Amino acid sequence: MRKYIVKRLIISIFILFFVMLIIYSLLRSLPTSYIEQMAREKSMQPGSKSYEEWMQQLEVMYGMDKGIIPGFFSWLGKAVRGQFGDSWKWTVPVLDKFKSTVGLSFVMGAITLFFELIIAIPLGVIAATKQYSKTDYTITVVALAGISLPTFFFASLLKWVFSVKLGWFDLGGLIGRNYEFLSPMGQFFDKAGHLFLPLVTLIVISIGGLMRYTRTNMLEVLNADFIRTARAKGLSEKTVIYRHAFRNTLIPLVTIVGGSLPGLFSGALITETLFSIPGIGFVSYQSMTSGDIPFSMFYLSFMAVLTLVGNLISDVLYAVVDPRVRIS
Amino acid sequence: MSEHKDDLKATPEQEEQLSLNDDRRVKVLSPGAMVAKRFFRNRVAVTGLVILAFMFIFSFVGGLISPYEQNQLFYRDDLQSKQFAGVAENTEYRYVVKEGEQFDPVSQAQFLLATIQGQEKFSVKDVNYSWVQEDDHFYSIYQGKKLIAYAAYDIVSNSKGNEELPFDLQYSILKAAAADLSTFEFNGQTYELDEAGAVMQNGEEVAYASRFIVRPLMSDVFLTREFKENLIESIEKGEKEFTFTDSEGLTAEYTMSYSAADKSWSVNQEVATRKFDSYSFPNAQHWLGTDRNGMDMLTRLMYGGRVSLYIGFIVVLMSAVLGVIMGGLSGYFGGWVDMLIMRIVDIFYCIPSMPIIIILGAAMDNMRLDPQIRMIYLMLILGILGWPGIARLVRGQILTLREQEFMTATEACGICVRRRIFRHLVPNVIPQLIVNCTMSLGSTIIMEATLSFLGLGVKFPFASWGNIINDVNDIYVLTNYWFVWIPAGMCLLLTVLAFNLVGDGLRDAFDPKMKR
Amino acid sequence: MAKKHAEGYLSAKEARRISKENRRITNALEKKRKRKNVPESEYLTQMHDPNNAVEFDNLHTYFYTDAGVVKSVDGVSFNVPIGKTVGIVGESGCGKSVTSLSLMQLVQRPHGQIVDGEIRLNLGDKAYEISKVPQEAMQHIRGNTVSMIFQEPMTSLNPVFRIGDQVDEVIALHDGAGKSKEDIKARSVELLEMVGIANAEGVYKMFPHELSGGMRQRVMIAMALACSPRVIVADEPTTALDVTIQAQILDLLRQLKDKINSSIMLITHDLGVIAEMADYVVVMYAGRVVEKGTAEDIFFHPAHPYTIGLMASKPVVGKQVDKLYSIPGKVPNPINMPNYCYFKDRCEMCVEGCSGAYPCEIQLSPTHSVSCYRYYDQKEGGEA
Repeated sequence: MRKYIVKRLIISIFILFFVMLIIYSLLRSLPTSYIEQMAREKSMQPGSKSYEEWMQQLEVMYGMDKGIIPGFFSWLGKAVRGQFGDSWKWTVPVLDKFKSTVGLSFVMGAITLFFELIIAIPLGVIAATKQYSKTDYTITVVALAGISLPTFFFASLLKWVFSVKLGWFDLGGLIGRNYEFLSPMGQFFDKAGHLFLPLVTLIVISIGGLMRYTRTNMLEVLNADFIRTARAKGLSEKTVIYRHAFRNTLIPLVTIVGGSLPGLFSGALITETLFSIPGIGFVSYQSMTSGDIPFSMFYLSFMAVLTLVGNLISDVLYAVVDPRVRIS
Repeated sequence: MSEHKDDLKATPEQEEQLSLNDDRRVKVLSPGAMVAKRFFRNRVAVTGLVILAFMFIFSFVGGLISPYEQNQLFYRDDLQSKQFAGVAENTEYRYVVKEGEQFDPVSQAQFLLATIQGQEKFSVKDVNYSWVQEDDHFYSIYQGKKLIAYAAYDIVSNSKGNEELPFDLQYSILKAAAADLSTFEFNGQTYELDEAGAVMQNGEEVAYASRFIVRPLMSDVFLTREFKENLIESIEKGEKEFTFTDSEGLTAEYTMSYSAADKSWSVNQEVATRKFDSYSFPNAQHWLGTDRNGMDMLTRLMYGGRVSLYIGFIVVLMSAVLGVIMGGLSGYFGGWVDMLIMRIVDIFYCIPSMPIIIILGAAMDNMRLDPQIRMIYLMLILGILGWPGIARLVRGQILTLREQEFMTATEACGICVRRRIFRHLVPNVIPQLIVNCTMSLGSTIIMEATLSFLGLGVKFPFASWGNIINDVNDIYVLTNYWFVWIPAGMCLLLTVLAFNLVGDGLRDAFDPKMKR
Repeated sequence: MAKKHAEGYLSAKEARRISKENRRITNALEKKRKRKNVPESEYLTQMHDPNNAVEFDNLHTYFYTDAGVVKSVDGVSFNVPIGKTVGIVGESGCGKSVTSLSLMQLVQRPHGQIVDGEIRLNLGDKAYEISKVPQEAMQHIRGNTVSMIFQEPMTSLNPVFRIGDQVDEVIALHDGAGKSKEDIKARSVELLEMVGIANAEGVYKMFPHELSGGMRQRVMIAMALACSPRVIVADEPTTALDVTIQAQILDLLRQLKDKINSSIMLITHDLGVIAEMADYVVVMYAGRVVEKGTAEDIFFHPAHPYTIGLMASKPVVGKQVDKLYSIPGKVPNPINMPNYCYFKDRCEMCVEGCSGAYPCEIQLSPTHSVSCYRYYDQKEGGEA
């Protein structure tokens, strides 16, 4: 087992190297970036140097004067030591900005995952056991509708109904206007209130996929031979489904959920942007659209690392949970 | 193989009966019919199909029969209030200085002080001045014996143009008004003065004096004295509206509003203007109203549907072709080809697609590409990011199928490689491929819509369901103009839902182990 | 011939008609099945002969499929006496498995239904009519009074539970009153030893994938015997195993049957197995019983041409032949069977009467009966 993990890690590093190279090249080849914008602005101020002079100076300052490959290696050299540089847009070190925003996204992700699990899995099991009945059809349609909803439309709908028409929630942001005047308890509830609509959006969008997956797996398991044996033993239908069948369905489910754990850190880009929640997703969206290369590089590499870690966790969990699979 | 024994000994009604050995005796459903049957038995999937059909007709046929163009602008005539003039009552002394003389602000201040104190003489920096009150709020200011300036609330304006009248004339006018004379002489010319403050020379108005300043706010407008007089009359009467017909016979309406903060009135002219018919509510002419730019919503929805569906299909087609080729090569040949291609797939999987697309979208924004080219680039990017998923699926299927005995059997029968791949292997991959493609059509449409919504995808003037909803970023639109964004969102939801339902139904229909 | 015949495929209209019929019939049957709180009096019955453990009486089990009604079991009657082994022989597709599944009410609903006939199960003090027993009561019978050993040991055990857990489960369910966990574990280990597993304690803790096919089948047998059932149904228990293991398993079954005095319904297509194990033999073809009798009757005096053909098909060690015999033709598709002897098109011994309706059962001796026109002249002498 250990050998397997080590082997996977080595391959992952290899893959990561290429991914980072591709991303860096892409970012560098973009026709314009934050530096150029800054240089343009600065050169337009009266009495300042010309655009070209500013560009040269800024390029040296930000390490952009080298070509793509040398630039990549110099970035990589600093990155493995944990120095990701300063963000151009926020003028603070990239890691600081990251640390200050990732906590919020993680909390949101964790809450979403929790609700997703307790809603989607039972519904998926019920849909599978009552296949082709009205319940199954309803659950299927609801699940698929959840997947089919564009995030921004649903978010706008929620905003319209709850913020504008009913006025229950603020339109966006994390804290209200009176935040400073509230007690700590009040502050907590203020934040919670602001997070309510984004969380609802995230949960509704994500239960569909998990529900369908559970249903498909459950159906496959229910057609297996050992379920027939379980019935032949005289077990009640409930026991057959919730003990024998479900335990087998749990295997792929656990691996999927385990694999998505790292994703909790990546933030929900669209939702955060729509509700102006200052999480890592929103912050990275802003950096990406304004061409802030250090932050974007960090965020994209981070996401790639998360994906690889997620895959690894998923495969390892599979071996742990399924007694048939033992990595040799 | 056995020989049939044809059924000749059967009883008459069984003449058509085949022998029990004959396979043709029992008719079964063809595989295609079986799939179709299972699909249509699934009511939910059929609903999806119906919705899809409707959406297609709506987008493609609707665009043809709609009387409007995608980008056709609509106008409406509205009475718009334009700021026309401002009226202020002068409640401060206006100092008019004789040509060549000086009376600076310090002196003016001293003068004011002197008048308040009642001192007729005052000096500023060793210059002696004196004043004489001619009338209520009208003083003459002398330096020694010379008249150098006057201070008055009333202002003398030139009726014939905007240039300033000579000092002496202004002074004479005011003195005559102060003395309530009806005529006076100046420079050998006789002038008539009337109560309203108009000064005429030979029956022609040359100037007038008034406490009210009326100045035009629109350029190239010259306000005639008659206009000013009527206006001031209305104001003094406390009216809010005022109609005036000028010398050319054009009538215009004006509304006056008083601003206490400035102690002035602003005069607005109601002008019939032609402007874009933005955000008009659904009416008989525009069934879903109009959008921000004054274009018909329904037509834009139809064209938007076309764009969204086109993009979806082309992207999925591209991904599928690339994916099938790569996955097929990888699965069939195995070995280092497989290793290489799978590593490439892994790398693509690791690249976070949404952020990359956002970055590329922002970059294209900066490059200010032509919207047409932008769409093509968008499709290319989405297609390239989509093929790894399909490649993996195809490879997995091929690996499983390759080990099955029917493939060994085809090899044992001596069938050539090409036939093995295309006539035996590929048809078994197709069901899963179709299901996957249908579902990814749905997700591609959502991806494109999200990008267009963020402003990074399909751009104006092309309509796409996503960029129609873009307006919603402005809260005012969100609140008041539901018809702008809700129909587009519903179209998106229904289309993607329909694709997913159909894909799901197909998956159930293709699965041979399904209970029904 | 009609156009449709040449195509071999159903037209859409036909298919729709079939579906409609199917739906109508299955809905009616399902409705009856789904009732709750069925009183016991509805399914209590009397055995015709108290020495029988199970009596199959004109059983009809149909499957309503897209291609038509598949009459898997179409009028099957036989008895399983207490303490005896009944072997059911036939080729694939003749309906033997479905018969046993009908006994356990494990037929896949809603398209599989017991449409007619009775299955009487002897519970000692009372008898149940299986086709009318509701789900809840059936759960008491399964594993307890009737237990089943399936054909595929490789997939019949739940891969995520240990062997011990799975065997304990059966015991705890039916026989667990007043027993502590250690008692149940002890019983499981005892059972595992009884089926010949050497390292019973060790195997108790193992997962199914750690065992070989033979071992798994032994575990299945252990589970089947756990509650001392009256009837053990063994559905081709050795088909998936190699011959040496087969012998061991069969030996095991025989010993155990004697020990707990239960009946075995042994389903197989292997005549050798029948010869070794069975007291009585039932030969099935295309959903009907064509011959039944004691093992001696069948092996030494096979009456039905099909049975004769089966016997002849078995290669004999030591005998030299130019060509191995096989029955010409093949097993028919059980959809829309005609009303004449099913074996007629493959039979080499047809007589004139064979073109008539399906032959009825003829008693050749108190134990031996056959459905064949060749013995119709004996009909007058014997019972019809």
